[in-house]
Amino acid sequence: MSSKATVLFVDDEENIVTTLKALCKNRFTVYTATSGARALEIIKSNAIHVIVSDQRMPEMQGIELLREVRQLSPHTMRIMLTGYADLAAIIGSINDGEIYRYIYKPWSNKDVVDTIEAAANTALALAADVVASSGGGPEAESSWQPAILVIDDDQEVCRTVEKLFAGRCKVLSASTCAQALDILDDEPVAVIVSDVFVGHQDVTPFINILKEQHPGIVTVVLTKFNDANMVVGLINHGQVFRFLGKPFHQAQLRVSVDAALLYYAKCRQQPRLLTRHLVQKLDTAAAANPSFTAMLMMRLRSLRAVAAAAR
Amino acid sequence: MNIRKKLYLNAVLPLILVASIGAVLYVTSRHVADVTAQERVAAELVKGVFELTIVADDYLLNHSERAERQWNMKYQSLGQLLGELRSREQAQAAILARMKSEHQGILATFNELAANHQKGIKSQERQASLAQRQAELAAAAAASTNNKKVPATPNPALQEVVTEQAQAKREAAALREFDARLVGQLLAKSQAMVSGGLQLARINQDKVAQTERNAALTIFGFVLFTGLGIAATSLLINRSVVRPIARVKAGTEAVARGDLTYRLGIRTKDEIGDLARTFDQMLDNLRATTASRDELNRANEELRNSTSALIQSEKMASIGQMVAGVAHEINTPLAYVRGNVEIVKDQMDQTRQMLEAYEGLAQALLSGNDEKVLGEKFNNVNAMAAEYRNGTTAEESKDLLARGLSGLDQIRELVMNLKNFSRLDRERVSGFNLNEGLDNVLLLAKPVLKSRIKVIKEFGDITFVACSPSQVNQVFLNVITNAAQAIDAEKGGTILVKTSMAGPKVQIQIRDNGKGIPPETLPKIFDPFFTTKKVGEGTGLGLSISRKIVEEHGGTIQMQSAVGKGSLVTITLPAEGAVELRKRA
Repeated sequence: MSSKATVLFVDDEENIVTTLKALCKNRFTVYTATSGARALEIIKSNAIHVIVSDQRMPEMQGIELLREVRQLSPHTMRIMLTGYADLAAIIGSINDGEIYRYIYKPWSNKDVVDTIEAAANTALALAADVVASSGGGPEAESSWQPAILVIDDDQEVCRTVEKLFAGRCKVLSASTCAQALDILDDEPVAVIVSDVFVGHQDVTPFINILKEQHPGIVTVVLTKFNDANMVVGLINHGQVFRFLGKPFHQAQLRVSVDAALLYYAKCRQQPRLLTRHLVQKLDTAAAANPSFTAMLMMRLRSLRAVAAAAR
Repeated sequence: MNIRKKLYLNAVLPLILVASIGAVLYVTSRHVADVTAQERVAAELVKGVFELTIVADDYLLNHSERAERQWNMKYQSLGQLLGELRSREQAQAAILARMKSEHQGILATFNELAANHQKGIKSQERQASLAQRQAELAAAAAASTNNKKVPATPNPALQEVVTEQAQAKREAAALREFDARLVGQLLAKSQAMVSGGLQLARINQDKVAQTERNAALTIFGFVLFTGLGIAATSLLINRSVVRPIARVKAGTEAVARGDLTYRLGIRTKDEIGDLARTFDQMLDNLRATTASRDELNRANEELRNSTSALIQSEKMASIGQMVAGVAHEINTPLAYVRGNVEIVKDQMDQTRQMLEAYEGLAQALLSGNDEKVLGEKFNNVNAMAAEYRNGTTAEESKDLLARGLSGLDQIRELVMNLKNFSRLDRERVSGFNLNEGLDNVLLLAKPVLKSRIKVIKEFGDITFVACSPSQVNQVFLNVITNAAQAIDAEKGGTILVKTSMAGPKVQIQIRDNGKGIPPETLPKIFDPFFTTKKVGEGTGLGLSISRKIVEEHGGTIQMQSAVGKGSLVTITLPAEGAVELRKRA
């Protein structure tokens, strides 16, 4: 059964892992653990493609576990499955856990299976890739200078980013979605630093669609708004790389954007890595503002055409 | 002029009136008495004059010495009366002077009469002597004639006597004539005196009448003047006292109705003006005071509202916390129950397919189909059975359903606990078992009691308690939550919940080995709004509300603490029947 992906379920409630195991044992090789420590033991001794963990557990919390897993086994796709919407934990799961999905309890079996399946496929493909290209090593691309696009009506953010990355990157700024699209037409943007509300407009649909259409661009969200559902949406639909709160610390912003740039470079070398960030198709989010979404889609399609022509 | 002065004036004016009338009457009476005395003197004078005349007549008739003496006495008394008369006016003086001169004239005339009388006596004596001589002479002559019968020769001696007699007769006649004239004079003088006296009397009568008229006029004038004065001051008093007082009354009534904007606005300089100013000032102050009192009341009301809002929010916060925890507690079993049911449901399709395949095979067997078809069907059923065995087995399904049921039981238990916790349907109950209450609370507080906190229960055999379970549970939840919060989530700790009997009271002790409370903050922990938590995390009302609830139940709540060692909260509640549950405020 080596072709089967391996999945590890971690939950302090034994009934939960039992159910998940019953649900998935036909499709995947399933491991279960009822504590973080046990989960880490399994990770260390087995190649795990997907880990699905609860957040609230005694001894070790889900976020701590996923952080550890990211260090121990970076290729393992990390999914959070929890009923407890603790905002700090969710934000932590983005920034520290770099999780693939966030699933609420109680779940729908199909969703869980589909999500795990998608994650498993990505992980399997990546594992094959790593085996194929082992020893290649990252190539330096000194000639290429990445661009950072700041989407915010607060000029302070743009100035700070300019100051922090002067000389290393081209820093562009947009105060509306339309401006951002114009810039995206002309410039190869690597990292977007965006608020979720720009000029009183919710730009989360924009961020989400952009990620769907342009998986390569790495998004750092910098906002004073933090609503658990919004953040979860940004994980599942926007695959936001980092989520920072306003007022921000320069050092924090620098580290985050640096990490984003590095990750962008890594993805350029290993395009398959991008599959780690496939987003859940928008349905509800898009329905919220159809005309806006339609406009975005049109613009992004043309953008893709330009990119294709350039290639 | 102030009212006091006006009233004084009003009181004094009649006095002045009475005094002045008295004075006028006194002066008048004095004057009248005086004048009347003069009049009397004048009348007496007149009377005296008549008496004098009578005495003079008597004297003239008898010429007795007694009459003369009487006359003299009368005359002298007349002189005295005359002396008593005083003249103030010229007319009077003239009359008086004339009377005095008449008076003297009377004396002179009387003296002349007296002298004349003496002369008359002498003349009569002389006549008598003359007549005697004549008779003697005649007798002598007759004697001679008779003898001689000779014509009487003229006798010279007789002749002489006759002449003398004639002379004496003339003299006597002269004397009588003079006497008569003197009497006439005396009468005239007496009449003059009488008329003078009468004149004086009339003058005095006139004077009395005049004086009386004057007095009447003066009194009338005084009465009029003072009356007007009294009327004026009364009017003045009315104007300056009664009317303003009416305004003050209206003002007080308005204020009594609650109209604090009313102002008397009386600007007079008397006492009422002072009163009105003080009244207005008082109203200003009252209004200011009322305004500030209203403000205070408002502030107080706001404070009370915000306090009750805070108490409510504290309640909601603890309930919210609990609800979040309970939601999580329910969510976990709900998640796997749902998953299990869904799995089993999907499995039902497989089971049905297998059943259909089996029925198809049985049909084929019965209908006697050829070997090939039967073989296919048989293989199909076998494959299905194998798949079924590989997949979720019937045992597994049963297990999943059994787990689902236990999950549902767990949810049911939680819901029951929630119901028991709030007991909103029963505000006050008797026979509440605190151990059960604590069990409930501990179960519901599970999310708050971080996974690293160990709870040790030492429940003793305790009497039931009459209380409001939802309130007592709130206290327990609050104390247990505090205990849990005192324990460092990383290090972990223990919470000991112990119940026992302490005399007629039930004692609940909740001990933690958390960070403890410094001695300087320990006395403040039951104060409202005192909190060591960050702004927004706690209202600072939890323990203060807890104490209120416990005290309303006739119990006590105390806390002992040592930094680094932990805290001990001791709650006592009267055992059932010991103390009536105090009526809630």
